[in-house]
Amino acid sequence: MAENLDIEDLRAMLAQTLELPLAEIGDESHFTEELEMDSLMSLEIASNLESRYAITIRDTDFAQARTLVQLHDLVAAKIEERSAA
Amino acid sequence: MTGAHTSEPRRVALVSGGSRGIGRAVVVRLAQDGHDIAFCYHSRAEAAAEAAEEATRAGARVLARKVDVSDPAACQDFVTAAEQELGPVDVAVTAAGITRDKPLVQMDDAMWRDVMATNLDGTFHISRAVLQSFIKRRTGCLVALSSVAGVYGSASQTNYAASKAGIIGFTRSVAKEYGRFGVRANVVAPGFVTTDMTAGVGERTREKYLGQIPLRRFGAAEEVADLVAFLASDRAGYINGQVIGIDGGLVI
Repeated sequence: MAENLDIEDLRAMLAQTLELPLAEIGDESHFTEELEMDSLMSLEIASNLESRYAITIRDTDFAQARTLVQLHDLVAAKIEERSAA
Repeated sequence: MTGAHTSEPRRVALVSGGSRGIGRAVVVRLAQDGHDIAFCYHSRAEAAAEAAEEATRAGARVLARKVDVSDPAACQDFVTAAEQELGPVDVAVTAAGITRDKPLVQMDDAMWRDVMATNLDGTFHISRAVLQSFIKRRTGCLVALSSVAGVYGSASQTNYAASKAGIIGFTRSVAKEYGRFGVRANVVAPGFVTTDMTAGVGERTREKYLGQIPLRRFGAAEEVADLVAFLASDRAGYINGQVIGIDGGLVI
């Protein structure tokens, strides 16, 4: 069963993967321009999200989410899609 | 224009990827060392013109030509033109290189093929073309640009690392095949060098890389060019088939 979605969990996941303090992961911090997320980190985060929330995230989906808030919205939409299916 | 600084005949050096980065620094350094220069570039005509001007100021006759090194016929034509215009090539430096970084699972066929075609095929095409004359004249020197990525691997650069590892195997084999003809072939494997290719690295990533380099700085293209110039010179006459790292101690 997938865990419930909490933006703070996403923030912690980002901080761990990016090796940054939690405080540096702002709601609107840009993943690549401010947090220097590279494509390998993106892959790791997408993979972690897929396992944790039992969803499927395509590369093109992930590329649309460039901030924590956008990522939260993406994951929420994917969970909803899965529940509706 | 003829060489102004010496009465010795100028040697001829051919450089692929000479308009930017390490290749450009090599063009300038070899010109300063008394070579006439034939170099090719892929797309940056303006940068190529600047490199040509700098080499000319150093006293070299210069032939700059737009060449796609993944095209074997274009490479052969370039070498033929260089020999017709400047005389037999004494030194060839293969510096043309590109990156198309992605984790392997996201790497499409074009990203793989483009990198292999420019980096590895390009080295093959240029080397094969100059070796014909090297063999006839029983002398010649190849210096191929590889990378620490080719020796030790690099995440998100499977294509680039494979191409650069291929260059090492290729060049060492050339050294074994053509040593008997007086031809030397060596590889230079730079670490982090400040060029256009590394300019996109963010500040935090840059700090992380710097933390891994004992000298705590990136290299300069001119420092790599100094090594290439040494390997291309008679002072390195007994160095053959070697891979020389220039990385500030990144890999020890």
